[in-house]
Amino acid sequence: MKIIHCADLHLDSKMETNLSAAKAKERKKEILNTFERMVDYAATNQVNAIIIAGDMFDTSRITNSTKNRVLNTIRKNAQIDFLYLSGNHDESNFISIMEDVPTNLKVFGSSWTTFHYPTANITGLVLNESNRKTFYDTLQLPAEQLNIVVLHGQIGQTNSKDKTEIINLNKLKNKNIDYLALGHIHSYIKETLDQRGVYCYSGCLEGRGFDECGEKGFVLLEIENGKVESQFVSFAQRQLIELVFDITPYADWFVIEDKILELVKAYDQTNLLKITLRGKYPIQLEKHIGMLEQKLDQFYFAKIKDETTLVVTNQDVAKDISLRGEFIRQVLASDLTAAEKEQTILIGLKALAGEDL
Amino acid sequence: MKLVKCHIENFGKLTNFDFNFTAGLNCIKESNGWGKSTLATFIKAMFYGLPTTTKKDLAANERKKYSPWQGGNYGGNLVFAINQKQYKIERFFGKNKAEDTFVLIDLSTGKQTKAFTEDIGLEIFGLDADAFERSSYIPQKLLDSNLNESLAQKLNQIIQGTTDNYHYEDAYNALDQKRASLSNNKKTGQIQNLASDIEDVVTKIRDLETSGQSVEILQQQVIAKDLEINALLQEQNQVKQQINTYAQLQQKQANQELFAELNAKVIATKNEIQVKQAVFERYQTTAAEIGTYVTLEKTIAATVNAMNIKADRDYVAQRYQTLSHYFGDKVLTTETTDAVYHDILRYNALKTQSDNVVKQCTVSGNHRQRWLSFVLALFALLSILGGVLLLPVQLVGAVFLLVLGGVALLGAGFVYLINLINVKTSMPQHFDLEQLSERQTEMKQLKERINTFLEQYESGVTDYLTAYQNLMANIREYAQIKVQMAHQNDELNELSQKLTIEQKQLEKYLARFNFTNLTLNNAEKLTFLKQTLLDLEQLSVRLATETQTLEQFKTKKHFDVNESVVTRVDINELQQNEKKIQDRIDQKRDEKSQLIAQINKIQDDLAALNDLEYEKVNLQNNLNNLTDTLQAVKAAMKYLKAANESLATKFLAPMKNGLDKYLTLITECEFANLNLDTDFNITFEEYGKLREVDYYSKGYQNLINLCLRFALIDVLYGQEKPFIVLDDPFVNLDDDKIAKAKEFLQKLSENYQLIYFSCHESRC
Repeated sequence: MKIIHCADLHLDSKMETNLSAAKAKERKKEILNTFERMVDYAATNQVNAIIIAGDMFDTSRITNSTKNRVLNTIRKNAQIDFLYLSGNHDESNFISIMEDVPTNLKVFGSSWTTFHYPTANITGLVLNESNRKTFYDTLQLPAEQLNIVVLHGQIGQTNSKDKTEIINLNKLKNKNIDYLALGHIHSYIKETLDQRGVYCYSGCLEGRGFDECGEKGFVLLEIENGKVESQFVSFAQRQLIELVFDITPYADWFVIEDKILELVKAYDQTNLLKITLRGKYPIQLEKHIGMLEQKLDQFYFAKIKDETTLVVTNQDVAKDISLRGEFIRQVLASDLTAAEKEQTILIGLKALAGEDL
Repeated sequence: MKLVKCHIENFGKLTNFDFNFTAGLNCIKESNGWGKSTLATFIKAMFYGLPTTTKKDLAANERKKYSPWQGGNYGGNLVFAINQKQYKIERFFGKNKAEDTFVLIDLSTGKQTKAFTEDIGLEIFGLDADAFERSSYIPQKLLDSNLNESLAQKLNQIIQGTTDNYHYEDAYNALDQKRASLSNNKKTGQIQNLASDIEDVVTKIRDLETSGQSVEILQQQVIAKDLEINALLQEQNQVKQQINTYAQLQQKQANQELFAELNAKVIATKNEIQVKQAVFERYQTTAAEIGTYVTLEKTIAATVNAMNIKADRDYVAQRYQTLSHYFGDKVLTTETTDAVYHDILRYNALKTQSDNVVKQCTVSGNHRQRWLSFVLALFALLSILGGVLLLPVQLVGAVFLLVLGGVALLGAGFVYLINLINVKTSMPQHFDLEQLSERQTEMKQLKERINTFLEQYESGVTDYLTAYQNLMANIREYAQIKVQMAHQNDELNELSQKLTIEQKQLEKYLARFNFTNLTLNNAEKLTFLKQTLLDLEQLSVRLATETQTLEQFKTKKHFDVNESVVTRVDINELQQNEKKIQDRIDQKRDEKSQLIAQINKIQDDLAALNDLEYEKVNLQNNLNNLTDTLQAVKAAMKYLKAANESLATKFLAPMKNGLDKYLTLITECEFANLNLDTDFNITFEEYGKLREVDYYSKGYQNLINLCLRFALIDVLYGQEKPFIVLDDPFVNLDDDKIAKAKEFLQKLSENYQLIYFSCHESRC
C-alpha cells in the first residue's frame, strides 16, 4: 500500500510581498498546479490514499476557481482516497459548503476518526479547544496493527496564544503509533517518536516567501509486511533560496558584485532568490544595489536586502576639513539611531555629490 | 615634505618619464598638451591612489582617463623627503582597487617600510584626496575667473569637497526639493499620495470584509440547512422502513403464493406420472423393446401390404372368372377367328360402298329447296297475320295481304313438292341396281354370320372390327391369367402363415399393457406406448426440476410457509407521506444550493481581497520607505546646514588673516578695509560703504584669488606643508601683474615647494 502525506498547501494564500502582482498571481496558480501534479504522481504510482494534514487553504476566502479545481482533481481520481484534516488556517468550511462531497474525500472530525485499510489504520483528529486536553487519553490504537495518526499543530509543551494547537509528543509515546503524520511546520522534519514509531512534518508543497526556503514536497509512505517506510519527495516547481553575503572584507563594490554573481551560479535560475547583504562598509564604498539586482534578473525573481552597516567614526573624518567631513561629524554627534545616522549620511553625501536623490 | 624625483612607467600619455624636483620653485615650461595635468595627477595618485568609480564620464573617472595610452604597467614611483628621510612610493594600478599595488621603500635602508600605509597622502597631509587636490592644485581657470562670481564658490568647493559647479546651496536645495516632493503635508507630496492610495485600498478592503462577514452567516445557514435535511432524511428513513416492512410482508405473501403454485405443479406432475405408469402396471417395458415391436408391427404391415396384392389377385380372379364365363366351354381356334375376321373386313367394305351411294343421292339440291319452301311459308304466315290484323282498320290492305299470304302458301307447297320429286330422280345413273342388290344380300349374309359368332361373346355389337379385337384381347388375357392365378395362390399361402405368427406375437406383447378405454390398432398402441414412455421420462425430469425449484425457493426465501402475512398498513398513505418528506428535502436542498451560490459569488468577489491586501502591504512598505527617506532628508538638511555654519565659523578668521597676509605680501600694501563673510564673499569698505570685489581690476581679482587659495592652504595644512601645483595660473595677467605674481611665488617658495607649469617664457 502506498500513501502520500502532505500538508500546508495554503491554496489561495498571499505570496512573497516583493513579487509583482502578476508574478504573485502566477505563483498562486503554480501552487495549485503542484497539488494537481502531486495527485497525478499518486495516480501514476498506484498510491492508495493522500493524507492532507491540515491547512489545505489559507483563509476563509477560497475562490470558486480553486475550489472547483481541487474538487475536480479529487473526483477525477476516484481510486485514491483523500483523507482531509482541517488545520488552523482552514477557516473556509470547505466541506460544509459543498453541495456534493466526492465519495473519495474523507474527512477527519474533532473526535478520533479512523479509516481502515487492509494493511493500515489511518486515525486522525482535528484539534480544537474542546479536545486539546483529552485527545491523548482518548487515542486507542490496536498494537497488532499498523497505525498512522494524523494531526495538525506545533510540537511543544504548552499551548500558544494564537490559533496554533500544541502537540505534546511525550504524551503520544507508547500509543502504538507507527507513523505520526503532522502538518503545520512548513519544512520537512522526521524524527523518532518512540521505540515503535516516527513523527514527520511533510512541510509545504511550495514555498511562498523567503521564510519557506529550501526543498519542498511531500512524504511517500510504503507499507509492506507490516512495516512503513517513508521518504521525502522533493516536488516544488520552484525553490526559494536565501543567501547571506558579508561585504565586510571587500572595499571594492565590483569585487562584491563579481563574488555574488559567482555565488549564484550554483542555483537554478527558475528559483526565487534573495540575497541579504550583511557586514560593515566604509564610507568610500559606493554601493550599486539596483545594478546588481538588474544583473540577477535572469532568475525568476531576485531581490537584494541590504542589511549592511556604514562604518564611519569621527576619527575617520577627523582629517576631512570639507563640508562633507563636517556634515558627517555633525550627524555622528547627533542623537539619531545608528540606522537613521547611516541613512542621513548617505542621502546627504548624495546631495553633496550632486547625485539624484 | 618635499618632492625629490619621480619616474612614470606609464600614466596617461606620459611613458618612461623622469623628473627631478628642487626645493622651492620648480618652473616647468612646456607647451600645451605636453601632459602637465597628467604629471600633476600622477603626483597626487602616488600619495592617494586612484579612486574606483562606475562613472562613465572620463573627466570624473581618473582611473580610466589616465590608463596608459600605449599600454604597459600603469603607474610609476615618486621619491619624497620628510622628517629628514627619503622614501620612494611605488604604485601600479589595475582595473579596480583590488588590482592596485603599493610599495613604500625607505631609501636610507633600501627596504620596504610600513612607516606609512597606502593612505600615505591622508597620513602626511591630514586631508583626503579631494581636499588635497582642491587646495594644493591651482589650475589656470581658478584665477582666470571673475572674483565676484567665483570666489565664494571656489572656496566652498575647496572646503566643501563639491564639484566645480556644485556646492552647499545646490546640495541643500536638492535636499529641500526632495523633501518637498516627499512631503506628507502637501497634496502633491509622494507620501500624501501614497497615504491616500493606502486609504483607498483600506476602504475597499473594509467594504469587502464587511461583505465577507456575511459569508460566515451564510455558512452557518448552510450548516443549519444540512441539519434540517438530515432530520428530514431520518424521518424519511423511518417511513421507508415502514414501507419496507410492508414490502417484506407483501413479498412473503407473494412467496407463499408462489410456493403454493410451485407445489401444485409438483403434485400435478406426480399425478400425471401415476396415470402414465398405470399403462405399465403389469409389465415394464423399455423404449428399445417397444422399438422391436414397432419393427415387428411394420413387418406385419409389410406382410399385409404384400397380401394386398390379394386385391390384384382378386382382379385376376375376377377376370379369370369373367373370362371363364365369357368363353365358357367354347374352344376357339385360330382358323375360326381368322374366318370371322375376313367376314368382318368384307362386310365393312360393302357397307362403305353402299353408304356412299345413298349419300350421293340425297345430298344434291335438297337444302336449297327446303330453305325456299320454308321462307315462302314464313312469308305467307306473316302476310296472313298482317291481313287479319289490318282487317278492322283498312280493308283493302288487309285483303291484299291475305291474298299475298295465300299466294306465298301455295308457292311453298309447290317448292316442297318439287323437292320430293328431285330426291327420287337424283339416283346415280351409273349404279347397277342388281349389283347393288347382290351386295346388300352378301352384306346381310355376312352380318348374320358375324352376329352369330360374336353374339356368343358380346351382345349388341355394331362395330364388328372392335368387337373382334376385344375378343382377341380377351383370349390373350385369359391365357395369361390362368398362369398368374396359379403363382399367386402359392405366395398368398406363405404370407398368410407368416402374418398369423407375427400377429400373434404382437398381440401377446400388447396384451401386457393397460389400454383402458382406448380403441387403438396395434400401430397406434405401440405409438401410444412409446409416447407414454417418453412422457414419463419427460415428466420425471419435469418433476425433478419442479421439486428442485420448490426446494430452492424455500431455501432462498427463508420464509415460513405457515406464517401469517396479514398487514393493516395503508401503503398509499405511507408512500404519500414519503413523497411529502422528499419534497421538503428537495426544497431544503434548493435553499441550500441558493445559499452556496450566494457564498460562491461573495467568495469570488473576495478573491480581489488578497490582491488588495497584497497591494496594501506593498504600498505600506513604500510609504515606510518614503517616510524614512523624508526623515533622512530632513535630518540631512539640518546637519548639512549646521556643518556649513560650523565650517564657516571655523575657517573664517584664519582665512581672513591669511588673505590679509598674502595680499600685503603681493601688493605691498595693507587691506585693512577687507571684509570676508561666512559665505567667503569678499567686500571692501570704502567711505563707510561695503563695495564688491568687482570694483577692482581683473588682474587684482586674480591675485586676490591666489592669495585666498594660499590662505586656505595655510588653514588646511598643519605642520606638514604640501607641495603646490600651479598650472599656468597667470596666463591672463598683464606684465606688471605677472612680475608681481612671479615675485610672490619666489617669496612663497621659501615656505612651499611649488611645481609651476607654464607654456611661456614670460610667465616663468
